[in-house]
Amino acid sequence: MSFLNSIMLAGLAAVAVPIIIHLLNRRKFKTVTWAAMKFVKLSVDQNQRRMRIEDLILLLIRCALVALLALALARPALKDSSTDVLGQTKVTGIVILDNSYSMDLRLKAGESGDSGGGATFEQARKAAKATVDALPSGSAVGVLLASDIVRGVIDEPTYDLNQAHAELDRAQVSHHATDLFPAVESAVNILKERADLRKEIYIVTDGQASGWQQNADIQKLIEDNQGDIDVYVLRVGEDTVPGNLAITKVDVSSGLTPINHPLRIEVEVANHGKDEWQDVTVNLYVDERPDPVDQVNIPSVNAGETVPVPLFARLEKEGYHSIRASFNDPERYDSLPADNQNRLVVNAVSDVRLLVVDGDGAASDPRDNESFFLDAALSPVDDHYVQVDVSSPLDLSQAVLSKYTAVVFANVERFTEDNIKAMRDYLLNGGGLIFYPGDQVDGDHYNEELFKKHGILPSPWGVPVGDSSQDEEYQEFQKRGYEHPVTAPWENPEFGSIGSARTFRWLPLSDAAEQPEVEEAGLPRVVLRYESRPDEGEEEGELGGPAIMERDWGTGRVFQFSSTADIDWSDLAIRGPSVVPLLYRIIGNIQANRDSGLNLRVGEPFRKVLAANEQNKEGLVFDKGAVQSKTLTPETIGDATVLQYPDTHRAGVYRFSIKGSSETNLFAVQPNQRESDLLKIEDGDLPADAELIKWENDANFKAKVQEARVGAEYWLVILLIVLALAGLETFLAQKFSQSK
Amino acid sequence: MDAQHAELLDSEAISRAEALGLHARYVVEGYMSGEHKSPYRGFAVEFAQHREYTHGDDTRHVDWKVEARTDRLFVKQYEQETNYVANILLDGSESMMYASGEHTKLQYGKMVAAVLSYIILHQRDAVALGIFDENMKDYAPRSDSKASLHDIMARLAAFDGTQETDIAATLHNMAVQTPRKGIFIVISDFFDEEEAVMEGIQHLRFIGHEVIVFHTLDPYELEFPFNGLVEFNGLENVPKILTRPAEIRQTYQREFDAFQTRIKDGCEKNGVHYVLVDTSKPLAQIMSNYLSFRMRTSKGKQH
Repeated sequence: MSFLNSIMLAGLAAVAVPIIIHLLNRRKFKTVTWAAMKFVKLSVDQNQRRMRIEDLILLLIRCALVALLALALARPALKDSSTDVLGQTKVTGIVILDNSYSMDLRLKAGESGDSGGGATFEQARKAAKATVDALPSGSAVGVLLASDIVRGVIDEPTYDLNQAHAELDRAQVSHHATDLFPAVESAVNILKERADLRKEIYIVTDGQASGWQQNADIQKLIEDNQGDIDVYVLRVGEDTVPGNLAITKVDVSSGLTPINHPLRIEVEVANHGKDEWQDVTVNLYVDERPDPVDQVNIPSVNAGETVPVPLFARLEKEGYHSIRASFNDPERYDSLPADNQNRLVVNAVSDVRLLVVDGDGAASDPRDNESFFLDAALSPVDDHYVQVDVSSPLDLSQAVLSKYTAVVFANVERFTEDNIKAMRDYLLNGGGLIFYPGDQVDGDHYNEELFKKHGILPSPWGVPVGDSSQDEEYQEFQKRGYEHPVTAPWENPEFGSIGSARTFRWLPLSDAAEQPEVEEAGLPRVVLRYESRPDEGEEEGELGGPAIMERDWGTGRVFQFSSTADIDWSDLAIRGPSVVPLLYRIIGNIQANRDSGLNLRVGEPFRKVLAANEQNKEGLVFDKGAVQSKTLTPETIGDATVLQYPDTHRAGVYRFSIKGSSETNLFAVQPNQRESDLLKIEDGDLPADAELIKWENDANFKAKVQEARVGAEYWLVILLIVLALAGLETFLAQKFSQSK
Repeated sequence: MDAQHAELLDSEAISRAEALGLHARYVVEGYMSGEHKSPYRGFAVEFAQHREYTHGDDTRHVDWKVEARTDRLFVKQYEQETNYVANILLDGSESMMYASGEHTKLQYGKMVAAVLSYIILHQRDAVALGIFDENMKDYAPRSDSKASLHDIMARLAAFDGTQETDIAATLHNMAVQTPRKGIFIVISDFFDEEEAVMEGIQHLRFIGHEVIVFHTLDPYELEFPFNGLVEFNGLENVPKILTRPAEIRQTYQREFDAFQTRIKDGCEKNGVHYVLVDTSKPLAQIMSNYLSFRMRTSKGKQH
């Protein structure tokens, strides 16, 4: 016996109330001075015993009334009662419907009584509805759509089961990955708030293994609430794991997207199946034009293998372009359409302008200028799309800086307050700064002003280490384990090597320095590390301190090198093919940061920061996939006024414009690649305390759900007893008070 | 008559009582020139002396035996006799202090006593008044003088009951102290040992007195109309009782009826007039009812 509302048991104390009333009433009497006492005494003697018994009976009935009422309110229940004398006890259920995109897997014809071509999700929808239908009358149900996010379409259980049906009908597959833990957790939290005997969670899922990554946590949740909440896993879809080939990545290699230049687009093809795929052709489309701009054939993709392939596109116009990589013949590969293509939006520009502030610009030999090698590397020819201007520190102002994509400070001794002010404004507007040290740099000034005070530098500069006058003692860069997006391509050996550049002298950077409390400053990240020279006979040296670090500042980004831009301290500038892509990628990263928000992962909200003159403008987002548009109203986030669109649950290209403006932006939402792995969890690996029910057909399913349900509540019986007692009390009170 | 006395004499009652008169049920000794019938009227009951016959004397009173011896005419003279004596005994115990309405039983009893005294004295009969509880508390000796009415009223008005009652002892005492036959009028609620009371009455009757019982009761004592929870605080030192009277009303009424019936039956068995005095009823009504009843019954026995 358990009590669903045990706090009401405290009401049992109210049993004292009738007793107290009885005692108080005994103190409330009229006094009559009386002569014929003999007869009163005679009458009392004859009736006393009877009256006492009657009083006692009434008192007991009243106490029982109060006690039973408290008991009924406490809702006593027997969990394992299988008798349904009083009808099935109502249930509060939460249906968790897996709407990750693996649910979009097409079923083979004839399977499970469904017509072929239907998605697993349709079966799941039926199962969820059958579950709702199997609830005893008077039950309440909530509906959560679960992927790696939880959407509580009915997060407060409703007694309106038709509403649940309607919401299940409306539910759509998202392009999220699955992670069922948050959904189970929120279902448990919802149910914990409820005082009901039968609380049930139904997880309707295809059993994809990735959804059960936090299986242990789910199991623990179930265990912790065992006896209170019953969990059922309703498994739909096929038991066999189909092969799945997915395009898991589309990205611009350099991050820079100039027009009329071939853009290298990195595409990754992953084989999540158990079989090798041969002769896989990937097409690249620009702006959804019917003909591909490039095509690449991959002879073979082994099981479990991810193959990166470069494709090339050329953009002819400035502005936003959508780029889509897609299998040539998707039907051939697999029955999960969502990951057979992937999209990217880029903002093409006519040129990229850089400013190099040279602290050593007065040298007589231009090759001694700090900017010489940067200029040569970044803008090798006069009409190159990257334009480099060289300036001295005195010319800095916001008006000047704002013309450039990035500003490089090479061996600049120190800055005036005006310089720093200009830098701050520039960064707040999405600019990029790159700092190189050198022999003229006043380290203390940098550390005090730029690191501690303004938090612009990602790291303080340490005391110079090494001797640049010799070439025996040096450090190289790391050879593998590149984690930062800027250096990530070097993880692929075909991209070349960056590790061999030698650094003889440097100002050490620290990724563990105590960070200044500057609101605009983001967390510093290491872009590239040094690596010590390998010992004799060893292939690899040991990872050392950071060589390049970066941090976000405002909406801009700051990169910091630990050695020079020229060849005074390091030979990076003349190390052949590595320096140019590194610089391009850094500038591309700055550009991409400025354009960030163009390519989002599913569920990541799209945000557009409004300029000062657009503060009251509304925005409009058009979701091409769902063919629907939504008006965005300005919201204030921090200091900025932004237009925000959070419903990026479908992969694809979305169109965005500010109302009243003719300019149209695009942004792309990319599916979560994790979901492409269709590997299923074994039945035995499911949480041990959850009941597994497999989909066969409608009627059968409903019966199975009902079978699994036991338990009875007794408050109604008790309430009926209370009513009967109340009637009896009234009758007896009247009867007893009659004169005898 | 001052105000206190006037209160005791219900003028309406007195006027109606006067109209009917008070008739003794039995012939009592002595006479005054009243309407009372006496078997010895004109005869010597208790010889006092002879005196010489003078003209106009009733020849019936001539003592012929003396005339034969002395040849002179002497008439017999008898002791001067009052008419009958009405002994009014009023119960002045504490139980008589109860009142649900305007008058306590004692006050009502006092009025009964006053009215009776007035009527009796008015008829030139003699009245003796005794107020008792455990003992005789106050006693106005017999008198046929109308002037004694004032004394009786004063005694009645001055009395307040505080004690327990012992009716039987009082009746026995009176029986012993009053050998001459007369009328005993007992005004009481008879909340006492019933058997002992009856014995007292029997004692009086044995001696030859006529006894009239005015059973004085409050309507609440008859009906017991209380509701809710009531604590009965006993007069005459009886412990308190807390009860819900509504639930025992029937039992009470049964017991009380039985008590009343026993008193009444006891009276009738002993040839005693029983009069129920309900203190909520007008005194005049009770008195005229009784007196008309008394006249009817005594006429049948008149010569």
